Amino acid sequence: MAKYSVPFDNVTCNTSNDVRAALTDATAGNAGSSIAIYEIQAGGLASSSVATALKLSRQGTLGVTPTAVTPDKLSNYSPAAGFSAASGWGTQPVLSGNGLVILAFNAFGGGASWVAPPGSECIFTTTSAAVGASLRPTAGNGAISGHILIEQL
Amino acid sequence: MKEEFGVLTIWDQGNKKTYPTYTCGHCSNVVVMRPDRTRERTKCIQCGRTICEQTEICATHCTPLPELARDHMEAKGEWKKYVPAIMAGVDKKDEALSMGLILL
Repeated sequence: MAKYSVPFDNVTCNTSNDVRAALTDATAGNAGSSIAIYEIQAGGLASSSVATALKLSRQGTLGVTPTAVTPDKLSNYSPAAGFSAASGWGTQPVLSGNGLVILAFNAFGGGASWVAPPGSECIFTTTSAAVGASLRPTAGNGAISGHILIEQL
Repeated sequence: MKEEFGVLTIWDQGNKKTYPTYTCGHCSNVVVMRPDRTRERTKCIQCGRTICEQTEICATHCTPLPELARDHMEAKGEWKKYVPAIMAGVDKKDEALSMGLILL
């Protein structure tokens, strides 16, 4: 199915705030809405050493009042994304569990990526209410850039 | 079903290291594989996928998330019973039950 990128550029890490988030769109009777995150990449832009960790988590309680960003189509021929993405929230989501992926690196000249082969993506799916994915720092306060690649199923 | 490994790459000032990963077939947790582990990874005898061994729900109930998602949740209830709990990040059955996160 169609694939999309949710990039982030020169975002200053704050361990209380999501860098980026994605939400399945199950609020308009679109039962079965699913997304699969298959790549996350982040690189540091800091000018001195900063231990940085980014965690992809599920949202136990969804964020409220998202600052929407439009997912970029990886193919010009893809339709607009059927899920939504956010660069911030009026009320940040409450994240749950231990997280699905953690990228730890030095934001001064360092970075990290995780790439999943087809069939081994991180799945966010629902039958009714929307579910959310959040990429949030657990350490660090430097600036980072990167992207999240998402397949809409 | 053939399972392939993901790749975690970390670079630091010109040095690059890569590590193999797998994704839990039940909850999508990504596990970085230790090269010195000798014990065999746990596979679900129903869906055949490698699972993460980290949560009670994963270990006790087959929830084949990738297949359910690609099928747009058309599968029978038994397979998707714990999907809301997994999506909320709940690890234990009792907790999921008390929070009303089990599809009946």
